[in-house]
Amino acid sequence: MMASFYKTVAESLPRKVTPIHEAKNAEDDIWRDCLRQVAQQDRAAFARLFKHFAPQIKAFGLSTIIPDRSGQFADELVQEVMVAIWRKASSYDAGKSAAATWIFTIARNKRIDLLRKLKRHAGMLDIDDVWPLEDESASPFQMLQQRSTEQRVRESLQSLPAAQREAIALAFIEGKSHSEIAETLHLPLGTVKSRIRLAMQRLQLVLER
Amino acid sequence: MKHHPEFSWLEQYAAATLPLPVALCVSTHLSFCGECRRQIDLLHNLGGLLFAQLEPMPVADELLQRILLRIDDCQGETAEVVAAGGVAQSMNSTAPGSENSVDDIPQPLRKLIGAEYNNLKWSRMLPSLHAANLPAGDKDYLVSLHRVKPGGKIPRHDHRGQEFTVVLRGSFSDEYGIYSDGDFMLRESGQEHLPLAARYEECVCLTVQQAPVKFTGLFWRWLNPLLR
Repeated sequence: MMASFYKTVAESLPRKVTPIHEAKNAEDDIWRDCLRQVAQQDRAAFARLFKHFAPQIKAFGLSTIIPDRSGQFADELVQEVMVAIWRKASSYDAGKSAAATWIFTIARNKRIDLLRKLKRHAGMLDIDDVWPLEDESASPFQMLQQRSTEQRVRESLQSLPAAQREAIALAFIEGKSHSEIAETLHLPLGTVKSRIRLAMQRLQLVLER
Repeated sequence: MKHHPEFSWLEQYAAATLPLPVALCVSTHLSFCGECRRQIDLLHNLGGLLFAQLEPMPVADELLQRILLRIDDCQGETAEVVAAGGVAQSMNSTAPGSENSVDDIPQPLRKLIGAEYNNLKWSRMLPSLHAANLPAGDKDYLVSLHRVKPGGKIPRHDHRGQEFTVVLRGSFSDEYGIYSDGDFMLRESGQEHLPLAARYEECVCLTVQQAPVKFTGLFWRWLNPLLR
């Protein structure tokens, strides 16, 4: 009796959480390696990367509010981002950021670029000058830290209250300013600001000074 | 470095939802400040996770073919990688007064300024203050460099909109604090101040103003039109 009771407890308890995250980390590693291969001009690796990330980039592009006559915006964004990935892959530092993080920053920059072109903005400033993609490379210590941060943020993102998650997604994914978020959610600007701030604190993303 | 952008500015910079001239100020501060770059890395992490969790949308296979064609077309253009190293170089630019050599312009400003501050068209605003507009191509913001002579004083003034300042060289103080290389400062409208450059060296600042500045001292009223 006792023995079987212990067995059921052991079976039912610990499984749930850890394997998912391990799997997630392993998946991250696959894409880190894949990008390294793309840096070596490996087209098969590039096609694999496309298959996985192009649908994400497209979703990112589709979430954008765009001026009229630009139904192709999301596909154009996919093209621009994928071409940039091919060209810049050798400057990707796998120790510093996950593949998805690096690709997010490229997509973010290219989206502004495309939007500026649509609005015929002519300025001498390059988006990549204002939002440089790579700075210094990571030390081994930073690499370790980086891994644990990724894991921690991923975990705490799961338990973030829906309203807070929505607010940060509107900013980081849809590219909306605080006042645009306030408009979308019919909330006062101050509420939006504090909601985002709370989310960041909860995710432990605010560094102590 | 003592004065950093508030967290909210860094968050909006990472999400790239700031107006370009404001982002330029944050970016210039970042090229001096490792601490804030660390903060940005963390925020990028979050962006990456949210991005990875997007519901994937179907993409036509022929899009990949089109992309591969484009890659073939511009096979020669792999030189972009070199440009990416630029930021790291500008990081050690904290040593003041490299007067006789080419100025150490922070990477985000290089295209706007060129190799030297002297290349810009400076106009004299006050005996101790010169200003040069930068062609950032944004009609809502005035992007400029300000150059204050050693010990120079800028008359007390107020702002109709926000005014962002990043110190590029030298230092100055006002009633709120002392600012030197890389320090980031924001004055809201209604926040009057009286900046004063350090006595021993010239001070160069990047300034981004939302609306024209107005001088509040009676004597300086007439100067207002000049400062636009």
